[in-house]
Amino acid sequence: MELSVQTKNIVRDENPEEGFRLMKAAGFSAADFSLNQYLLNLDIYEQRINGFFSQSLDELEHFFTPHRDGARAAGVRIGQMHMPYPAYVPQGRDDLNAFLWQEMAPKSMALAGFLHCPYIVIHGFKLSHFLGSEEAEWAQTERFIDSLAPLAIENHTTICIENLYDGLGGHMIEGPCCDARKAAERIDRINGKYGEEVLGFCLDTGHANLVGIDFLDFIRTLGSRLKVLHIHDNDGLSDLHQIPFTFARTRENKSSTDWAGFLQGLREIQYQGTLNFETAPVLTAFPSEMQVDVLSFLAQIGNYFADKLGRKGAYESDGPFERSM
Amino acid sequence: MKVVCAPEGIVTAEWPKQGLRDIRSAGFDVVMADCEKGKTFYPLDAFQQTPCPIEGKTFLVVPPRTEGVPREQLWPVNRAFYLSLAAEAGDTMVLLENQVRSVNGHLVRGFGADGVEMARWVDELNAVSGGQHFGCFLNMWAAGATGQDMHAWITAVSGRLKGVLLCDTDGRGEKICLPYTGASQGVSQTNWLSAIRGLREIAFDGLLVLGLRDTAAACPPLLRPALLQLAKKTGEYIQWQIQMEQTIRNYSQRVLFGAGRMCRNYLESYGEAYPPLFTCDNNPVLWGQDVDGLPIRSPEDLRNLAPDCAIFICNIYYREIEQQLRGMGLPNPIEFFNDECPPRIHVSLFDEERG
Repeated sequence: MELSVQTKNIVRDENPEEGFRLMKAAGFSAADFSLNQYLLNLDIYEQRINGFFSQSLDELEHFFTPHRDGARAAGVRIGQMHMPYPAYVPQGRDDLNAFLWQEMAPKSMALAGFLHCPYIVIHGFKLSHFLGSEEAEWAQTERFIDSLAPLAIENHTTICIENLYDGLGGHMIEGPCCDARKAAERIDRINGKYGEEVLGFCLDTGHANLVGIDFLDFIRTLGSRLKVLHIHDNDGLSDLHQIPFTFARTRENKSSTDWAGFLQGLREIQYQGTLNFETAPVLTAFPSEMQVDVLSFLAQIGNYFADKLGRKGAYESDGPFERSM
Repeated sequence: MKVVCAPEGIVTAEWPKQGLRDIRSAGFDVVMADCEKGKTFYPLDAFQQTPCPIEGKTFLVVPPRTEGVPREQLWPVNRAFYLSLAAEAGDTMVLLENQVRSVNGHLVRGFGADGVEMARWVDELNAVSGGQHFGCFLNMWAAGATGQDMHAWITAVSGRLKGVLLCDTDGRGEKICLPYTGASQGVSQTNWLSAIRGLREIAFDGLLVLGLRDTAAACPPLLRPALLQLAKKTGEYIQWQIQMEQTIRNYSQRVLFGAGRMCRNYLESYGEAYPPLFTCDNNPVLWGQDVDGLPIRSPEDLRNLAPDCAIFICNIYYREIEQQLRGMGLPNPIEFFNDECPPRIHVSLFDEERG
């Protein structure tokens, strides 16, 4: 089973190959290319758009050629990437949203093709507050996906929707794509419409943990529609993107994230994809001198997961349903 | 719809009578309290003696059996359990309640957290038991603690929903606070907009149970009567919000008073389904103009209305305007419109060509 980690904080534009070699040396053979770091979400929300995606596609491909070649030289496959987000700012300027939808998104799709990346993760639009329901919110996201679907086919990449959260006074509440049943129905319907696998799902373990999603039920419901992962951990309160098994909430000091349910779900659906860690903040939290050690430790956790997924019977069912409160 | 109180945090073993007296003084006449099998509703004058029927029906909120039950067996075990209750419940309706479970101290969604599944279970139980013996109950702390989309849950269970525990939570544990008191960063940490939208959409007409256990327990006993009065007002406010569309629908004709943002939001939310004849405003400069196509007239024009045409005040100075209208001696019903929980909020979306 292939291990992957996001490129942010590892791969640098000045010498991409060096970062990819570092990843490879730590035990990762695939990369989650952080295209989103070239247009930051905080800037988008504040309606500050840099000129990066205003470049022509030729210019962008020229810019990313060392990244593509560096990954290849290091023996690292670009297995997935993240489109900048959000692609729509509610109550944002029309010219901003037009740019995101008509410039940033199509160029991101083309770059997925250029980097030979099979999966590109997008964020659904956060609109239920405005439109009144999740269904109305999804209708807008689906329009966005429809606009990208021909480019997905052309570039041989699958768009993946990701479960998200939203904040309410510091408390995390459900965001787009937190209902696995609806996601499965929508993925099947859209793929049926295009006759190709243009849409899949990216399970973000940290986001799921924030809103108390039952990992096992969620993964079972998604089944083979689950294509890629954002593996990371948190305290159940904030989106920290930390190392799995880091957090405990009781004096017994057992992990408060249901990694057993996560592994059981992946094993049941016979997940064949990459085990990808979305843990860039870990690399800034630890001293830079420890970067290699930290990456190696993440890879060891990946190997542990792979081992548990590979050995049938290694994980029992999570046993009795725990006490309801 | 009826607003009742949950006595936890108010009625204590040390001074049970005082707590009950405080609840009654605040204007409640029914409480939801523990009984042998779960929770039921009692009149305050016969607390925990004889459950009282509400609109001809008694209700019993029964938590599922989860202790020691493997997750694959949860529904089969509880299906049999609930059906056994139906056999002995007679005319009492048994309500299934959404749950959370703990993963080493972290709360995740448990039994009944999936609204679609809950609806299916209730239908199955009713079909097998041969009658409307089952419904469901929304526990807002459980849904709130796990950040659930309450609008989605509520609309999924729809008419099966018979009661709601109204409370605030902070998402960290079992915390039951008076609605709107679980605040941080200037907002409530419970998604009241989502919950009220859902309850309004399904035209909820069941029991609103005010939960304020932790707020009341932390409140000095001398302040509790005042807290309970606030709780009663809060319950009535939420009831009013839920019934907003129903109230508009009740009148065959209506006019608005106010030509500002609230008027625009009325038109955005309800203008098509329930069009007003016109709006009026005290500012003479606006007379003859329009708001999004709705004519603005002088309040004097209200004197020409048919007597059953309702006047909806769309201005935050509700009471002053109400007084003005009463002073005019108008026979028309006067209602307050409020846009704090609109079914939708205006947002500019791409048109098809641009998308």
